[in-house]
Amino acid sequence: MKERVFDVIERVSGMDDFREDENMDLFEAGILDSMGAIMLIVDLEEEFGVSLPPSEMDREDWNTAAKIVDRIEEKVNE
Amino acid sequence: MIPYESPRYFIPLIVAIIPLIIAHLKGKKWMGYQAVFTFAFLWLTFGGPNIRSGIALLCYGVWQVLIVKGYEYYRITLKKNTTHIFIISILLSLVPLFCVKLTPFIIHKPSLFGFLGISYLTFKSINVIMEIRDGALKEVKLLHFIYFMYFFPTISSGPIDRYRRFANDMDESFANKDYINMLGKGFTCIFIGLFYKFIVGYLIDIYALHPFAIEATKYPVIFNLLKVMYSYGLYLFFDFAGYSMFAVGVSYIMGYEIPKNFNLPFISKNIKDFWNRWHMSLSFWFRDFVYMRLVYFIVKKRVIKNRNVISNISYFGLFLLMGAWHGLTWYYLAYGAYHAVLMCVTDAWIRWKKKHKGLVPTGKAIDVINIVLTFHAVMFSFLIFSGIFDFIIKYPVTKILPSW
Repeated sequence: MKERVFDVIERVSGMDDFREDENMDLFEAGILDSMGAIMLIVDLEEEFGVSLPPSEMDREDWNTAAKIVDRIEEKVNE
Repeated sequence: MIPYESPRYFIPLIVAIIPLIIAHLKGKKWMGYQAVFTFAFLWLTFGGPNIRSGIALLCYGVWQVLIVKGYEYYRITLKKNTTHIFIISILLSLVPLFCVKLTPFIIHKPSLFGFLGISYLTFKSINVIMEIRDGALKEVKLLHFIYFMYFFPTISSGPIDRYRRFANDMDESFANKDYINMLGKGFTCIFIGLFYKFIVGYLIDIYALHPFAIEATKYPVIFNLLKVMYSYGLYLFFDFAGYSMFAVGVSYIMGYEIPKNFNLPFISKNIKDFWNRWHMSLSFWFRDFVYMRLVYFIVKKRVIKNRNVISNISYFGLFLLMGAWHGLTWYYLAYGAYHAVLMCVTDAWIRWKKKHKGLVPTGKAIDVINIVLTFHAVMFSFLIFSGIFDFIIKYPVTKILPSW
């Protein structure tokens, strides 16, 4: 699961620095911006067959790779 | 009385807020007192001689409650979710704002349904409908929604709060809050606001903007326009940031941590940075509910593949709408288009820099250059925003001079 989420983040952002530090703030590090965040949720929706509307992705809940993995796990198990 | 418009507004405000401070310090919320307090201050702005706008405000609230509760019933109780009902709800919520904005063009008089702050309230209601649709809101409590809409410290010009955040503040007990700290922050904000709005903003207006604007309309040469540009841009900041400080300060003292509007916008290093620092509650609203939704829609429907094109189209969507929201005049739209172009160019530049790492020097000096460039790009946008070009076009020098 974790690897699959990380692969999606890497595919969308074109960067892999976050793999070294899962708690790195992706927005501050310039790995994600608003555009990237949407591309990410659309890709994650397809990859995991879940629904992730934009207002569920508050920046505070979605700013690190580790938090994104947690959120997807929650969603998949819903 | 327009909220915070003159120092006189603060006399009843301070008197009425003292009992609330004492109650909060004892850990009590006193919602009943908050309701009376809110009603009294709404009355100061919308009552008495302005009762027409007060009735419009009341009708507007009833209208929005009906739509939001209706949509909540449809989406949450009936668990249905069709796009057309969602769109109809959004459009119905926008109807009053449209009417009020369009009426002056049709009958050349302000609309009877208008009141101070209508566009800010519309943002709040749309926020709630969108989040019900997304499933982010599981319930909209009637009293929470009414208080969220009619919360007087922010009613006239924001900051634009979010329902989920506000409802949490309403429910949270003071036992969990560091109220002394909030009180300190609240008063600090009010004092900064006084300094910004009633001292700096006022002085800029009287001694710079006003004489410069008269001069520039008489003799619209570059030097005169530059003077207007700097003085208007700075006035806009100090006046509106001052207002926002009051709204935030009063809200904090009342126990509500509403979002702030400005974060040192003139040290922005590029235009994207600027929009994360200038009128933040508005730009974040447009980012979350216009830009990101547009991008989401285009990506999902696979209308366009290239992500840079998607992003650029969405920037135009965002900024043209923001311009139109300020008013349906050509210069507000031009202001929006200008910012959209700046955003597209900035993104292209960031992409170029990423590809050619090492080619562009970095360091403190470069930062300073970026800040100065951004400041001027922004100041020029405010000159467009000021409408002075419209004035110069409509009243060319030859027409003005004889009458002066």
